Amino acid sequence: MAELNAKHLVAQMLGAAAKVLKKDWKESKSYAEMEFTKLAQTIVMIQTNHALGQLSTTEAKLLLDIQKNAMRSVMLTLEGLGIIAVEKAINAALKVVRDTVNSAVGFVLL
Amino acid sequence: MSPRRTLHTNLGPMAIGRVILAALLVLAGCQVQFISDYDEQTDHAATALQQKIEDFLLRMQAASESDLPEARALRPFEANQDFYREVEVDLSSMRLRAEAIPQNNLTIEQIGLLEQSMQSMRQLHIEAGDRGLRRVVVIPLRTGINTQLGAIIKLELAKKRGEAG
Repeated sequence: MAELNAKHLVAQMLGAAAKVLKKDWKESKSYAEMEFTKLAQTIVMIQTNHALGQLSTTEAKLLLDIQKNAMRSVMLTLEGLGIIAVEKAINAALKVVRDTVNSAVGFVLL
Repeated sequence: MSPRRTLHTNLGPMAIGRVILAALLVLAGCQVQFISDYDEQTDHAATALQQKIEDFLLRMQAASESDLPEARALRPFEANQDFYREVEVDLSSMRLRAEAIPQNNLTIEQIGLLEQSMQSMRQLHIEAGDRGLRRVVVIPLRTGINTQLGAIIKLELAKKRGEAG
């Protein structure tokens, strides 16, 4: 039976976790950039149209409330994506431990 | 007064390594989950709602730009109350289902925000009066509502966690 080394195991786990987090952050960042750009442009448009008299103050306020809700919804999705990424990273690290232990003992122990 | 007892430990690096290893071995048999599983009904309900609201807004915009009598009749809020009632029921069903699923707080909050936005949209329609929902109102409305529904759908799809389907 091969000897298990905690330090080595931790390094392998960190490597597996980092891979997952890096990939997921790239996707989240792209989504966030796209949505925030759209919302920022819309907010500017509302303010411009209000200044031009094409939107009443009440209309502008209601429309801005909706953009705020949209921004908050996007943030909640990013929070969820982050939680799932951490979950996947931890599970990837735990899988490394399972695979290493099973390989060391020569049969499926975990 | 009796002297305090103090527990002295002297765990060396090897012993600490063994403790960490033991902990890892215990955990390795588990999988962690911090957020709910994917729910197909929530995904489909959000998609259907997006189509319903988008269709409505585009019809309202078209009605606001036409001088035909039938288009003018379609414009005011009073002629469209059924739509708002249906959407309210759709959202209520979505929220009820989301609340029944464990670890689903983010989606529940997103549905709550969408309910608020629909109240704002309702107010906008009332405010518009006989002019109806004009293009200058519909464009930002579509962006806001579509972004919210898109966020709900995106999060739901992410809960698949790379599963097929």
